[in-house]
Amino acid sequence: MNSDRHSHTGGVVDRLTERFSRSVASRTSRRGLLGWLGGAVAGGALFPLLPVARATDPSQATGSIADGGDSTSCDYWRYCAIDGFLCSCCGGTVNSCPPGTEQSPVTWIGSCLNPEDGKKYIISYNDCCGKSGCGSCLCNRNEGDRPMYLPSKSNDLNWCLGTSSAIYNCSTAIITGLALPES
Amino acid sequence: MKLRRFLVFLMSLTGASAAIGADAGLAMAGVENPARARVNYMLNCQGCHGPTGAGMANGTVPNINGYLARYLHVEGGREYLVQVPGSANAGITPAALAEVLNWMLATMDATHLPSNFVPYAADEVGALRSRPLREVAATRAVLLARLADQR
Amino acid sequence: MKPSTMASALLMLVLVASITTAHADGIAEPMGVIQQLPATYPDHWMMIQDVSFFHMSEGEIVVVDPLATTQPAQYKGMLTASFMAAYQRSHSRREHYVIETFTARGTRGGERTDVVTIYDNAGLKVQDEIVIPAKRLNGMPKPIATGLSADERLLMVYNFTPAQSVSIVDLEARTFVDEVPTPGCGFVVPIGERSFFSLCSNGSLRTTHLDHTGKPVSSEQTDKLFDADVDPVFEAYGASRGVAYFPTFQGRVLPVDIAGESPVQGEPWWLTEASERSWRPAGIRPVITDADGVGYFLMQPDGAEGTHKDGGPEVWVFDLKKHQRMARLVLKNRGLTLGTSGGGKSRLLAVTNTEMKVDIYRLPAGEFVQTLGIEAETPLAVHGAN
Repeated sequence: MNSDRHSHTGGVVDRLTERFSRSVASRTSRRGLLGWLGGAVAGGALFPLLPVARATDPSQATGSIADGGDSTSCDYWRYCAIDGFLCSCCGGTVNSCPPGTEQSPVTWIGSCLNPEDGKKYIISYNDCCGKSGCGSCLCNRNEGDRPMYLPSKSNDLNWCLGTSSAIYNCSTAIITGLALPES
Repeated sequence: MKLRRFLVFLMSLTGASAAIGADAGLAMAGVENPARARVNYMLNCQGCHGPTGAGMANGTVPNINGYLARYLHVEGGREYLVQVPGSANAGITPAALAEVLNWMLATMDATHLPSNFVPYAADEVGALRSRPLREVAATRAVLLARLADQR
Repeated sequence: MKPSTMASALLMLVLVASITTAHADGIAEPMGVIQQLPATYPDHWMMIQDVSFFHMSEGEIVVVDPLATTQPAQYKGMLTASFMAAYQRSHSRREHYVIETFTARGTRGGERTDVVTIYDNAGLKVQDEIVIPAKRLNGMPKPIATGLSADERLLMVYNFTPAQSVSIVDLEARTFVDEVPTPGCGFVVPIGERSFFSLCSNGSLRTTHLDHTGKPVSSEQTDKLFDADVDPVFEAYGASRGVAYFPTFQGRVLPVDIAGESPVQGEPWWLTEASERSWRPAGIRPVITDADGVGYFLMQPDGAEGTHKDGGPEVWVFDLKKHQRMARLVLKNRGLTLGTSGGGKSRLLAVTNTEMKVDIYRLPAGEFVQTLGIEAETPLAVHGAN
């Protein structure tokens, strides 16, 4: 900042600027920007880690699958190929959309290892659409992600296609089945 | 037969293993391992075609559920299902692709499966996919016209 | 003269007199002054695109002088770029093209309209708008989502619905020409005078030949050049002396001759020795090239499955002809994507770092110049002026 130009306003502008910078930083600098770096460097979650697994929420029940972990954290196992805002932080859950949004029927598919049972599951990363970007819990991990010319394996696309609205809000991670040991 | 196919479809949806299918004597023609076929469908096809083959409501991805096997009734249709790029270009072996196609036909459109249906085989699929279609829309239009004539 | 007209005229006279008087005082400043930029930008200027990932409908492209030493001096002006826009520019017509998406109800959707918005270099004012099929790819900013023919007349726009096709726009006639289906293949790499190829999911290239006006004439497809699952090419390349160099996830380079109307595959080569294969290219745009046959690759030391977007701490410099590494530039800050501007001895490298700031280096030595002061949410694409 050019201090000469703002010296007449004393520290007010500086303080405002500093606060704004800090708010942007807190929104983007941790998980946000680290998100662009990928999950490998993920240390902590943007939000405080919740001790209770969100999987206890009946709307995301997964039958008999041992599915602990914090679905609001980018480190959560199902997010191994996600790119976007976690619906769990946006009024939805790991497998449901926030109120008033619409879920895209077309999507990209990944497969992730569940550390609790050591099995690989197939995950459908359906986007939720119809409201502007949620902005919370940006998460980008790319296991098995491939370029966009292999679309069913690419998370770089806005998959709000086939919905009435093309506007991207957040991403879910829905278990669609068990992967084969060899796949 | 229809009921058997329906049962197989239900089992595949619930992730039932091939062993169970074999035990119950509910084999699908040309599908050695239904669970494997379903996984390959999910990984390579479901992204656009959806879990049931319903596609997109606006038709950008056509609904193949209850329609797919109709292609087998017109000249060029059998080849088309392999040569259409989403199929031909899938990153799986010819044997796996043949199995997925047989599985899709049996689970999504058993109703229209011809009575004399010969399942896709690996060598046939391998040969066809090496010549993927370039003018897909035109080929598809011809096939749809043939299907319309049949009615 | 009617009385009302007469009154207006009198009023005007009074106004003009008062303005003249005020001006004569030497205090009041003129109103309505709007800045202009030069019609031809200095070679080293850059267009920094903030795709604004958190507010996608508010993307922007800032015209920047990356060598100016203060933020106010760096910031020259701005173009809006709605919803993960793509960008091209014409040197001969001195125009910017923003390929963007609007929805009738903005933040919540409504009817979607895709357009090519044309701005002039000097005024940064909308000169024209060409409506194209509302199918353009919405996604992370990949440099090959659009392309320009060698004569800068035809613009090619990659569509994904998820059916894949390419829209052709005639920028001289200011019209949409046609939509070419490219089933199983995506993106556009302009080649020769009137052709482009797309990258196919089976690792082949599909070439579309256009006529003079941009109408598709024929297509052809190569054999499989790479394995899209095992070692895919990035959606980015650098071109030098008629050859496009595509890095792959595992660290090979696939050269494709793009001088003629059909692509010709060259022999792939490795960026790394067998002993250093954990070094891999990574990032949104991990490669730039210059006109003198030198390539710059953004590299990371811990390459593995899923790290291809992580960017890296070094840029490796290669003689593209000899396949020889000339230097390793250690970046001041880990980079996520590369851009470049200028030419010859005044070429600059722009690196968007993980703190979402843009670092400027001087090439070929890689001397760090400065971190730009431009405030942007997610400046994930940097375009050169010329």
